[in-house]
Amino acid sequence: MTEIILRNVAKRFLLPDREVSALEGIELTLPTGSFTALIGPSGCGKSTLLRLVADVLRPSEGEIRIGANAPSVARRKHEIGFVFQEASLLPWRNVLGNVCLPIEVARVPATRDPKALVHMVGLAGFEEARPAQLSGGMQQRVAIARALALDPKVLLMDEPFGALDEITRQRMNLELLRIWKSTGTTAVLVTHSISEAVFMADTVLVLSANPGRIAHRIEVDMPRPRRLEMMRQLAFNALENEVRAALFDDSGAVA
Amino acid sequence: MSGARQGLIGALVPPMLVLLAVGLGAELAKGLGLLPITVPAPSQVAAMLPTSFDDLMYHGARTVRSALTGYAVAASLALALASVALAIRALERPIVSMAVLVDCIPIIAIAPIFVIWIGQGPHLHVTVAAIAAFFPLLVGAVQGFRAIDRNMEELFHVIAASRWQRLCKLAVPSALPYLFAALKIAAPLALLGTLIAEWMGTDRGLGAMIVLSLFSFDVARTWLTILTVCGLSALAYGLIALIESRVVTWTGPADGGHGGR
Amino acid sequence: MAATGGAEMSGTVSRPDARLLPGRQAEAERMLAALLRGLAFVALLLGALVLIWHALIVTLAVPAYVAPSPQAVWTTLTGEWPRLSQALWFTLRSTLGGMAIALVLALVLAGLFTLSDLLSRAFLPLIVILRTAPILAIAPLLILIFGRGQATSVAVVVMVSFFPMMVNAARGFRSPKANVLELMHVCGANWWQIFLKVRLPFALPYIFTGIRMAAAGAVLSAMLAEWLSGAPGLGTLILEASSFRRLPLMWAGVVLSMAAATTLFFLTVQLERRMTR
Repeated sequence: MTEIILRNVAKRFLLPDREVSALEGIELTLPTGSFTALIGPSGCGKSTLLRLVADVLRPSEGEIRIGANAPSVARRKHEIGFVFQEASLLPWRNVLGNVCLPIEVARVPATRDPKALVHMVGLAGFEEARPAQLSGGMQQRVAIARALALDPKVLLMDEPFGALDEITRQRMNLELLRIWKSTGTTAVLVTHSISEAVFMADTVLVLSANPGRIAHRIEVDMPRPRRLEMMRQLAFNALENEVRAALFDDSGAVA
Repeated sequence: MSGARQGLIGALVPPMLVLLAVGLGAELAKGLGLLPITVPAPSQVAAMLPTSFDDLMYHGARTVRSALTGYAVAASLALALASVALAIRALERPIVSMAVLVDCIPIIAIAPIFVIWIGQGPHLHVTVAAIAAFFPLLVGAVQGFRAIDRNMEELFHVIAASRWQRLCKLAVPSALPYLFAALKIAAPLALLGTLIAEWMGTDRGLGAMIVLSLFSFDVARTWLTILTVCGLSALAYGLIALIESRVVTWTGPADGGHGGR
Repeated sequence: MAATGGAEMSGTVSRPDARLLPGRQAEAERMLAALLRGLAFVALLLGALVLIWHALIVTLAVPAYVAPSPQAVWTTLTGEWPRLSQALWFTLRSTLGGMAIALVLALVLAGLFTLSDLLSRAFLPLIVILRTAPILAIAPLLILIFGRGQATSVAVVVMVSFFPMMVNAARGFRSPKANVLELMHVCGANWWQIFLKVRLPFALPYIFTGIRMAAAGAVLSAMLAEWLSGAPGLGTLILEASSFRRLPLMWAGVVLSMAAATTLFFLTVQLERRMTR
């Protein structure tokens, strides 16, 4: 059981002259093995929310649970996988070396074969390549394989495909869904793309800014496995429109 | 691979041609009597080499030893201070400010003071060499440790890496390109520091050889000695660059941004 | 997320607000305050240094030949001021003159390099290598060539200052993005217009960085040249004072040269900071 639970979470940042509230009153339960997308205008705190769950930041108020544990405990038990917007690979290590990094750091016998992971993200034959030799999409695949190296219970992704072109992005989306299904992790995806959010998630959470709150919650009742053809269906478009309406709802402008 | 080699040749040939042209031009100008007596023809300098070779080896050995020791001292000190700055971020600015201040002080001004404090001799040469090489090394090390990507730091936090793991697997590799850039710049400076200290007065060392030749107005020998110093510094630079190209294989050469003297 | 992370954390509003930009007067006041703070800091630092110096000499009973007391140096500084100021002025003239000549040379050559790719491919690598070479080592050669007057000092400063200035200027002239150059080309600008309106403004921060780098070594170079050639500047003064064991005079010369070098350096740092902001 690895639900992610947030109870009345708030995050405020102390600036020299004032206090800024990034997130207020976040109440969430993300069920085990679910896929959740976070979407909202710049400055709504969606990245902050992700970093709170990953124990990179501490909440100012409230409580977060990953399964039965606090995020700091889950982190030390290597239950969290994190994918950044930039691939953030160590340039001096090759593909396999980057995927092995969390295993080396944790000093545990590998629960997954790193080579199999590289294979799973479709980079068989590139094990010895350096990050600089890879395209943006390939680098992001390595980052995903690295995040999965210790078989994490939760997979947190901060706009992982934001820098990719539309075609690569859709291909990566399909791959990610396949990987997610085969690992059974609880996934959270921060994204700027409405269609990506609807295509990937079981639940799309729309955040509003100043302070960041969960303004809307949209359940995506499309069947799985998702296929690209579904994006042409009316039901898909209706969901997209629902998200769009929610985004433009209160502020009237999206930054 | 052949493309890279072609690029290398393309990069090397024009400057080599310029060097060759300068040498030939000097030879020709000298032959036509256009150059003053203080500028010898390249062939005259080359002719000095056989007779001066033993002298060059004798003096050069001492200079190289002093410069190397000073260089090693400066590098260890710079690394230690930069590590302190990395561990205690609040100390980074004071350390760098102090280093800038020290770098502003003309070596020539403090060399006589060091003569009084530690006397003439190899200790003085090593000390001045270390002072001359210290600043770029410190700046390189501090910059290198500062160059750690923020996302990488978060990544190492998320995968629960220890302090030690962060140092070995993240901080040191990140800093390597900067460290090598600094090591390259500092090597000629250490040599120069040794030379200046030797000019203060010593009987053995390339600096002494230069002063001796200069005062006996042995023009070709002065040129030869100084060209040897330049050759040594180029050699040191090249050696470090070679090691760098073997170690730092993942990035182009970083620029330390601090010039020589 | 690194770029927007900060903004997200601070909760920026969605529309930029021009009123948030600092006004001209506020800017001037801020700079004045910073200047005063800087001066106060320097005064404090100097005071502290002198105090520590004094305390060390008193507590450790340092003999005068190891290090004289601050008072002794001050007495010499004021008593021998005509001689010291003359030497300082000589050294400063060589330093500033040499830097000015080097700057003009560097700018002209770096400008020429933008004309021809072959030219820069042939010369720039040599200049980059020479920049890291111990240029000062060839000072004795310059004495051979230029004799024992001020010309040698100036020549040494030119040699040493030229390379960092040149390398930075060349880098600066090449720094405009291809887009900007293409835009000027499409607008029908000629080489000279492109140089004046694009390359030079883009290069200014680089040029000032070059000046700052040169300044760090310029006083040192001038003094070394005097030292080797015997021209009447601070370098010679220090050397003679040390060989005649007139230690307070030597220390006064050392303090003066340090002050000159640090002042020059921090002036160029300030200049660079204003330019690169």
